[in-house]
Amino acid sequence: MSFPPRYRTAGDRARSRGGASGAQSRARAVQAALELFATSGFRGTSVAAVAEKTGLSQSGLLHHFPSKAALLSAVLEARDAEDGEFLASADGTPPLGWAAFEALAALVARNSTRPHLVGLFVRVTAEAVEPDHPGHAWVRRHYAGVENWLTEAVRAGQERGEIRRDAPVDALVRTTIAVMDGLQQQWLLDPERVSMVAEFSAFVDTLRARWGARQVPAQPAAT
Amino acid sequence: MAATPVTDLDAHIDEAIAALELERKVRLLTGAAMFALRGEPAIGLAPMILSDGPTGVRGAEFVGGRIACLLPNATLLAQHWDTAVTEEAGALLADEAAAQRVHVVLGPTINLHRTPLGGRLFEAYGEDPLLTGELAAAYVRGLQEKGIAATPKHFLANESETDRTTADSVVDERTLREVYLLPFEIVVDRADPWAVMASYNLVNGVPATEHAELLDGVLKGEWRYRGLVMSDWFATTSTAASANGGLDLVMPGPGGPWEGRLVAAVRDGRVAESTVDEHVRRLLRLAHRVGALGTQREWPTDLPAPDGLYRRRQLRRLAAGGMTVLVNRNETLPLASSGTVALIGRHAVETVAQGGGSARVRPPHVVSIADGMVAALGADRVSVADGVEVRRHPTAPPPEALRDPEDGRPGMRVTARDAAGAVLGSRHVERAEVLLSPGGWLESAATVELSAEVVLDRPTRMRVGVRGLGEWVFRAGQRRDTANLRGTGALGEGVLVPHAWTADLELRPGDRIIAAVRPGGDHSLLGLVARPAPRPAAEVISAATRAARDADVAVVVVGLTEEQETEGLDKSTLALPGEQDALVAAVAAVAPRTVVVVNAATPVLMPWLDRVDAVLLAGLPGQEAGDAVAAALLGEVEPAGRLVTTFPARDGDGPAWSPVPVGDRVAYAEGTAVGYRGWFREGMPEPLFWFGHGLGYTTWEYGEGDVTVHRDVVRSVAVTLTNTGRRPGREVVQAYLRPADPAEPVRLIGWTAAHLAPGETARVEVPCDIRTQRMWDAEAGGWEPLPAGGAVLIARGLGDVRVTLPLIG
Repeated sequence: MSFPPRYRTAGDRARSRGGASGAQSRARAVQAALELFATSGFRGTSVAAVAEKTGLSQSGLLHHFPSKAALLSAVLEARDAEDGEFLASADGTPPLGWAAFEALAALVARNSTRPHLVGLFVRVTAEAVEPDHPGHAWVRRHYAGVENWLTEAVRAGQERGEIRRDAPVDALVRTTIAVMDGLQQQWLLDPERVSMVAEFSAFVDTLRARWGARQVPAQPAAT
Repeated sequence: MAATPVTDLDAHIDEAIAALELERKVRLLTGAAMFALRGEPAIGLAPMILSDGPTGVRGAEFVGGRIACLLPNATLLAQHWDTAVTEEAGALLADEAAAQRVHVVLGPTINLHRTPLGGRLFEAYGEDPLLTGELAAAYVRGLQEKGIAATPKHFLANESETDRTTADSVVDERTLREVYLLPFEIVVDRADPWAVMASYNLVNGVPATEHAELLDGVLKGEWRYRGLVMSDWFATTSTAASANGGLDLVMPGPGGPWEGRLVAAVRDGRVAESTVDEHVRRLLRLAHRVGALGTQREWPTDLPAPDGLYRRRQLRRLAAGGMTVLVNRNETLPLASSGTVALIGRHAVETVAQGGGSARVRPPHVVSIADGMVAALGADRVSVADGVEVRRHPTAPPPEALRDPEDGRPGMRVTARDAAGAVLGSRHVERAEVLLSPGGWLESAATVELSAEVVLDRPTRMRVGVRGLGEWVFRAGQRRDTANLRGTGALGEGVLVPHAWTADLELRPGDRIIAAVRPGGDHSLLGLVARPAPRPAAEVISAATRAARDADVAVVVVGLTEEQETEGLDKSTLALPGEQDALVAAVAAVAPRTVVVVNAATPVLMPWLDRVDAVLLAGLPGQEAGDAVAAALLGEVEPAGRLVTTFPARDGDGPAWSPVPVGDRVAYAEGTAVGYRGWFREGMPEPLFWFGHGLGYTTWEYGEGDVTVHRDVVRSVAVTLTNTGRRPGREVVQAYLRPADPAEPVRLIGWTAAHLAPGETARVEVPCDIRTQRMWDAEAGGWEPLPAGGAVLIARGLGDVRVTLPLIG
């Protein structure tokens, strides 16, 4: 039984196919490029391979994305947008204080279920250290963004009385980023043995034990 | 039942047909309404009532109809691998039908799980034709022994939903015979269903509703089927071709391609009157069988209530016993009788009890897993934490979230007005959605206003809005918005495709939301949205991990929703929606022990599988969901299910994947190697879990096996079985044939269940079916035995073969 309470008309066939194929092709291309960059890196991926995986001709793909660099920037933007949506509060602001570190732990958990995203990040950031790499500007922006957020998070934590006033802000921020990225690298090599989620959570526990202020405000209710 | 003695039936029916003019006969062959057939007083034919029904007898209303039992979904029932269970389900549905004076139930669904992306798999029994056929035959017997007609559907090759009314399933003859026709063949042979439903799609270029080769040739010819063939709703597109092809009844009505046009086709000789007579004969035979011809049937009055203790216990048992233990490391399950549990997940608090589409039922209640666990363990042992968002589109809020501003009852107020603004009608509606449909009470309304007070105890940031096609004016507190929700005109989109507008705003206790719509079509759900605004996933996950750290065991409930498991739409991925995978991974990293309950009917990916201690597949458990999950987790009922479909480890793996037609064609290119049959082939990746897998709560040792072969057909297999665990258990002994010719895929030939106490040993005999030990010879148009040889595999799913018995070639 179906819901449609009327007989179909000749037009239904065409309509059921619907438009939106341009947007769909774009989304498929971004997904295909993401998977290929994640496994073969940016340099090891050809436009032809992305086109084939997308099910488009090369010229069809280039119609949506004029160059491989444009594809990379679309992939990285999509990744950042997803991460941002995952982390941000309802009003768009990121979590601050220890909540920021808990959110990072949740992000690491998310990454552990999406190995291709971790592969993309590790491979592209390694390649894009070179200044002439098309992802170079993105890598710089990415690290600057994380650094700014965590710095603000620690300062806010100090002001709220969650984090000790004498905590070394820069060191806290940089080691946190280093632990996260370094765990990703090790986990990619040996995902069976390395639990980056447990290791990162343990690292955050260590930070809290060392730098948490004594009277921690009540946690938000777990409901 | 009808008073007419059966011996005189054919003569009586022929007399009745002879007494009717052509027009009077033809009018019987199209429905009178959405779910009703016409009567004919001149021959003592009463109107018959039909109802959708695979998981509950909903009655004639799509929305807001009578309260009815909501059963566990088909895969969960099938996971028992027990014909007694489906027979019991059939008998229960017969009672539910009788309570509503329904003569014909539109089920079971016996299409197969070809690709795991199929949206409607939750309504069907699995990927194996023999298992499906036997389970369906028992379900049909259960219904029909109580005088209610069953309607196996959808005939034929309707394994996916994308473009289902235009898609052409391209299937070679051998595959049709050996795989997709087989469940229908078994059900016709073993249970003689009184009706069969022809599907929307085309089969090898011919619409199923006019497929003479299949309907007249195979079903009514070769198989000597004597029942009625009806169309799926609005599926028939031809007059003479369908009438001549073997379709007996066009549904629904009035209208459609028969009626006057069929009369004209008979008058001008395109359809013989004797063909019409044959359709009427089958219709009257159905009427006789359900007691609508001659003396009318009696309807029982002492039936159990859907929310009575008898039904509640029965539905809990049917759900819990089919649940399937996929992983159980270090005997994490059943849960210990002491210690604390952190219960986490959106599906824990809003348990998904059923799939989407026409199978939907309005149950008396749905026990959430949170309520079930708290009831079983006590509130002091369970903490409950909501999980991440699982839906992209808003759904109707629960009745208690809103209050009718006029009478204060839970729900909303619906007011219909004409173009001048005069009130045509005003009603209270418990669930905050109504169906605008032809013939409904809102049909002539120029505008429909939905209003409610949002029930809050303190100011709360809420997501509020509207659902449904049309031009909306929305007011909440001081805010006023307009939204024009337009459809594309696609089939049934007002009901199947969500159209919604929402906004997040701070509301105070006593605030009202008022939404007025000028409807944008003649068929659409209209509803309000009101729920707390979603929180970012990272925040929800952080809260969940805090709860998990403090408990002895974390139970994370994840799953799909009717956005994935629904009629009318297929999936594009097997990944859990939203950030549920991240939630599980985060909890598993900090909890002492982690149990995952999967609240879904069909395969999902489990990228966290190596990090958790146990996984229970709970299916779509019906109205007693939470009590059933608690009974299974605590071991009060052994979740002794075995999978009925293979779970891929990754998107894209497996013998068949995309359900999207290419140039209107769905090519069944994998042939007979459907599901585990294809997965077992050389070069295929390892699945996550095999068809037939399921651990239960004890362990089993298999000893000596032997096989009885007669004329090159395996008649039975016997094996010595010992329960080596510490708990009584139920084992499903599965026998597969691996043919000598590697081109012929492995296939299930029989199964049987054994209940054994700890330490008990028994000799178990598995009867084997000849139907999956033969080959269709397309050239000769007949069956041939498979070449002798090969081996019988006794297995707990093909990933765990326990005994291999070579056959003499």
